[in-house]
Amino acid sequence: MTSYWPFWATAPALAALTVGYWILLRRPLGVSGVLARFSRVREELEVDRGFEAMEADPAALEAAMAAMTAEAFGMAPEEEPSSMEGPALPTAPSSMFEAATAPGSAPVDSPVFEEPRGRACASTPALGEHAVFLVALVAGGLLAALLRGTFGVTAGMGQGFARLVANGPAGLAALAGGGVLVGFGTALCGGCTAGHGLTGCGRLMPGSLLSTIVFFGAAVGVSFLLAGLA
Amino acid sequence: MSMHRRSTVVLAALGVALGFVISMSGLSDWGELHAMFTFASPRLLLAFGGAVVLATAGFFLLARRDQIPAKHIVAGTVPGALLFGAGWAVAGACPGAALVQLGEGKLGAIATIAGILGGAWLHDRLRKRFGWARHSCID
Repeated sequence: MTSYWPFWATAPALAALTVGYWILLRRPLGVSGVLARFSRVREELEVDRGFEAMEADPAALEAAMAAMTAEAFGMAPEEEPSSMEGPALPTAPSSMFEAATAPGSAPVDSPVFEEPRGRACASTPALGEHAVFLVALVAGGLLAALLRGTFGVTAGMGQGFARLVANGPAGLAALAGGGVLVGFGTALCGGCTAGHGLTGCGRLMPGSLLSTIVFFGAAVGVSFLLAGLA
Repeated sequence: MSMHRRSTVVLAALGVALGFVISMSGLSDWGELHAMFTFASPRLLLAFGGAVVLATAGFFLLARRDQIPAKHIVAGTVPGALLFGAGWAVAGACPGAALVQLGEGKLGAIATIAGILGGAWLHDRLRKRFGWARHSCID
């Protein structure tokens, strides 16, 4: 009945996208962090503007990176950067640290990096670029549904959802409530099925392995609960 | 500028491809996810587990020395993952799948996406109020 791909087609496709995303963009694949940016658009646009200002002013960028390198490795800079009158630093610690490890910048004057290492992480794409990514995900779903011939505008999530969770307006409320749990939970544990499940587990990161075991276990528990209550 | 344009094109292409694969695999179908979580069907479990194994091999072969940001265990790891897992089972969508569902014509996904944005917003407010560290994957 289902016209979905078998596991042996899905697994290599997801793996190729996960590794390919890093190779092509030098960013770890993730969706929840991208989506979360759009819950605080004004602040994220300010961060973007800060990046642009720093890119336009190399001296300020250099000073900012020296300060962040010192902060990241718990060392005081040998000498205080003298040109700190550049644009104020945007207030986004994680994004800023990633900027500090931009390609070609870190090994230059930092004694911490002794040998040249592999590709460095690129800085966070602008909010507009991330918007393109999210719209592209929607387009991918549309394309697949059209190809399968299953495209159809519906309000609910299918028969199983209607039977085991809720129908009509109550169903929409359940989806919104589930969404809140997803949004809050992924922000708290720092990733979702893509960032933790694929990228993090694929790199055997302890935080990702634990997250994935726990969120999968929770989903199993709640699903059996839903099936039992119905 | 041309670098930005190139990365935007790559982001768009990878986004369409990921959305397509999520949809074709059934990861955006509430019933298929429920069947995975209740072990009624091993298909998606094998798909996801297989993807992790192959991604591990891929990262090892192609990106072993790369400086990909680490993911440590933090205070929010277990409680956050518990909440996410519960929401995943109820709404039938991880963040990427919610967007894919919208493309498939499932308009209920608008409620899911609104909820995800609201949850992320709430976390950001609480994080600033109580001084929690930020562990988001802004990627």
